[in-house]
Order: sequence, then structure tokens, then C-alpha cells
Amino acid sequence: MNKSRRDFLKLCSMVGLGFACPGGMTSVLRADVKEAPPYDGPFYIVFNASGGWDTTYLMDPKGVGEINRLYQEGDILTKGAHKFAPTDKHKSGGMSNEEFYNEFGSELLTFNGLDYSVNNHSPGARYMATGKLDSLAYPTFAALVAACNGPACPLSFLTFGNYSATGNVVAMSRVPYLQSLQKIANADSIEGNIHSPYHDDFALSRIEQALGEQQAARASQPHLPREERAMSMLYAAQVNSKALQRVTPHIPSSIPKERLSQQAEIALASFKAGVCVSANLSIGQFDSHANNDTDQMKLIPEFLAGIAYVLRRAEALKIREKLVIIIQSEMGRTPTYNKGNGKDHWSIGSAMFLGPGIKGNRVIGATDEKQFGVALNPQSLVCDKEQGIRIRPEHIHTALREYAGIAAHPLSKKFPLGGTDKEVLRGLWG
Amino acid sequence: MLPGASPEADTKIREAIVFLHQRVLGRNDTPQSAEVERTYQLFAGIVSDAAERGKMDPEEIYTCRQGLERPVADPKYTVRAWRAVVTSLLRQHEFLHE
Repeated sequence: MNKSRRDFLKLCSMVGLGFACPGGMTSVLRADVKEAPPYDGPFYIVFNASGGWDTTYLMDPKGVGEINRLYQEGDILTKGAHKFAPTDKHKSGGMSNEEFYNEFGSELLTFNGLDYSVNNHSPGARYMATGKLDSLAYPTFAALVAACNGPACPLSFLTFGNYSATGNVVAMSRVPYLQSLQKIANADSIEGNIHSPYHDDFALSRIEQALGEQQAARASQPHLPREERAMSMLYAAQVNSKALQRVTPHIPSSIPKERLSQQAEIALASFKAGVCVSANLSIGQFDSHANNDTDQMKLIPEFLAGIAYVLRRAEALKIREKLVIIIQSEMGRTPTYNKGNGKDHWSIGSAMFLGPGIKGNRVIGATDEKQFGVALNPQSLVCDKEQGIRIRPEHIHTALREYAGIAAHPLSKKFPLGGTDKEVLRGLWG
Repeated sequence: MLPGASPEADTKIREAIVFLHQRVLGRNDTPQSAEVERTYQLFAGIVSDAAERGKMDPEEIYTCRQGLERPVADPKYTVRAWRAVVTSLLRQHEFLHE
């Protein structure tokens, strides 16, 4: 290859043109497209308390130093290794901490004293979702695990809010209502009603056959790789979208009223049908700058009830043992009340985890009596003010990637989280 | 106008397909091109399948009647076959991508 041609090719690749080389990218893109088999788990749900939860009213109770007005230190309850704030008397709906820990405490791993490093919503949400604070390019964990485990699933990564960047590694799907799921699951019928098809079955088969023949014919012709890739992706999407029909039997006839339950039904039906790997479930309004206790006592029980709903429904659908739950928020709330009885942003918080291979009934990390994070020895997982380090979202995400078995995946390598070996949380999952 | 009924009928069907390819896909295909042939075979195949099955509803499919005063008569299944042709064109790369 002479120099001018080599330079020309380099220039083309820089502007994203590239060339169709025998045996290279083109051959990959021309590979036969077949409907992917159902994805069989594990499934991931990231619950997000959007706006910033008050961890001292849940998994990191204090009751000292005017941090909490609804209870004192002596009122703090325990369930196994867990300590939690009493909320049964204060909730008006949803699920109290008492009920939640009674039912799920033995399976629950809590991490306290997490250093968010920032106390603004946007960077906090990004940091917690991706493990990377200083980049807008990183995918969320939910998107990354979907891209690694089920890139061909038609609804591989579902999101109902929260920071949902994909890093362009997987498509993001928003299906806001159960009725929407019905419509896209049966897109060849009017309004998703399988009794109102646009075409008879034999006509639809003919259409698909013609599109398949066209795809094969065009694959044999030279195209710019970008165009070829677009054609191949479109055809693959059309073929794989038929898999969405598997969702229909799992769509419940009655629609739950609660915000998280509605999201949960969409995610669980998609999991059960094998068309989805991960989902972000989110409810907002946790940003309690005014009347903190009133708001948090309304929202935390609603949040916990949503988590419980998912776990119970997953049990009924027989996918509970394959379901991984991550429970988080983008920030905590201050240890003091402001003049409006609210609490402002706090850069120390908590996260909770539950799923196969996660040893429950454990609390890792801590905050002190002023709600500052206590350093943790990542090797022993014991609080160590002298030798420990501040555990930040990238440490949690590094552990999550290991747990999900995707740490060595090329897509994970593309988005490194930094940190040294000594900072890796050893045995976090038990 | 049934496919294969006469040379004139086939010519008109192919002209209609050329028109649709130009309007929907922006392609300037000739009546004898491979692309037009593929669409023609789709149309003809559906009409043929319907005839083989027999006892098809002689009117446009119920859910696609669009509230007209009378259902569109479709004794030979050609209306539904043309609708299938348009569906296939709407699912093609040229229609969905610039």
C-alpha cells in the first residue's frame, strides 16, 4: 500500500467512513440475522430515590445531636445486623422500615458512609449511576450490564427516569405505561390488540420473507460500512422485535396504582419474556428542603413498598432467584434542619443490595455521630479511621462489575473506573 | 388488476410499484429491476396465497376499514396485498434513514 493511499484510508477512518474489507467489518455485519433466544437472567433493577433520601430515616439511623426529630437514639430498631429508624408510627401509606427489614433484612446488604463527593443533583446522579464523576460519556451500570449480557434484546435496557446515559453501547428504552408495552409488543396489530391485526398471518410472513431477501441481496452489494451497519441493525431490530410478542402473556390485566409498581410490572414482564436485562426504576420528590420529615415519611415507605412489590411479583413470576436489586439515591440530607424544617444536600449516603450471591444481613461501612463518613479498609471491610479510605461510587461500581461478571468485558474496559488494586472492596458481596 | 392475468396487467402493477418505490423510498427503479421484481413477487405471492386458501373475507380487513360508509370490496385480496406492499416499503432502510 503506497503512502498516499494509506493516508487516504486514515483520513477516511478519522471521519467515520472506513472501508468494506473482505473478512473484516463488512463480513461481520453481513452475518445472518436470527431472532435471539430469550435472555434468561440475571436481571438487574436499579431503584433510585431521586432528589436525595434521608438515610437517617432508613438504614443509617442517628437520633442524636438534633439529627432526627421523629425519634431518639434509644428508639432505634434492629433486625439481625441491621439498624434502622422506626417509621411505623409515622407512615401514612406504603411500607414501614419495620415491615421492610422483617421481610427482607436477611437478604439485604447495606453500605453506609458512601462518599458521593458532590452535593448537587446532576453530578451526584451521574456519579452514582455510572461510577464516574468527571465524564458525561460513561454508561450507567444498568446500561453497561445490558450491553454486555443482552445487546440483542429488544428492550435490553429499560429506564423510567434517573440518569440513564448509555455511552452508546446499548439502546435505551422508555416504556412509560403498561398499555405502551402492550402496543409495542404487538406492533403489527392496531393499538396492540392481537385481535385487530393490520395483516393476515400469511401476508405478514410474506412481508418478512421479502425483507429478508432484500437484506441478503443488499448485503452482497458494496456499501459504506456506516450505511451497511445501519441496514443490518434495522433488519436485526425488526427480526428481534418479534420476540416482544413473548411479553404479552405477562402483562397483568389490572394495572397497579402505585408509581413504582407500574414501572415494576413493565420491567418484570420484559424480564420474564426474556427481552430485557436491566431497568432503572425511579420515583422523585425526595429533595426535602422544606418539611423534611413529612416528605421523607411519605416517600421512604412508598419507595420500600415498591421494592417489596418487585420482589414479591418476581417470586410469583419465578424469576426472583435471578433478580439483582440495587437501591440508591444521588445524595443524602444534612444532619441539621434548616429554617423551613427541611434538610439540604449532603454528600454522604448509603446504598443497599439484594440478589443471588449477595450475602444478606450485613452492614458495611458507617457514618459517625455527626453523619460524616468513616474511612473503611477495603481489604477487611472494617471501619478504620487510620488506614481506611473513603469509599466512593467508583469503588462500588468496580465491585458491581465484578459481581455481574462483566469487569473484563471489552465494553467495561472501554470505560475504566480508575482506582488501584488496594482500593478494590474485597468480599463485599460475601 | 391481478398479477399474471395478462402482460398488460403485470405492466401496470410494475408501474405502480415503480411509482411507490419513488414516492416512499426515493428510488428510481426500472420496472424490470430486481428491487421491483421483489416487490412484485411479494404482491403476487400474497394474492396467490389468499386464492389458495379460499373463503377469504371479500372485503378489506375489518380493523382497517377506517370508518368508511361501506367496507372496501376486496374479492381477490388485492387491496390487502397492496397494503402489505406499502408496509414492507415503510419498513425499509431508505424510508427510515436519510
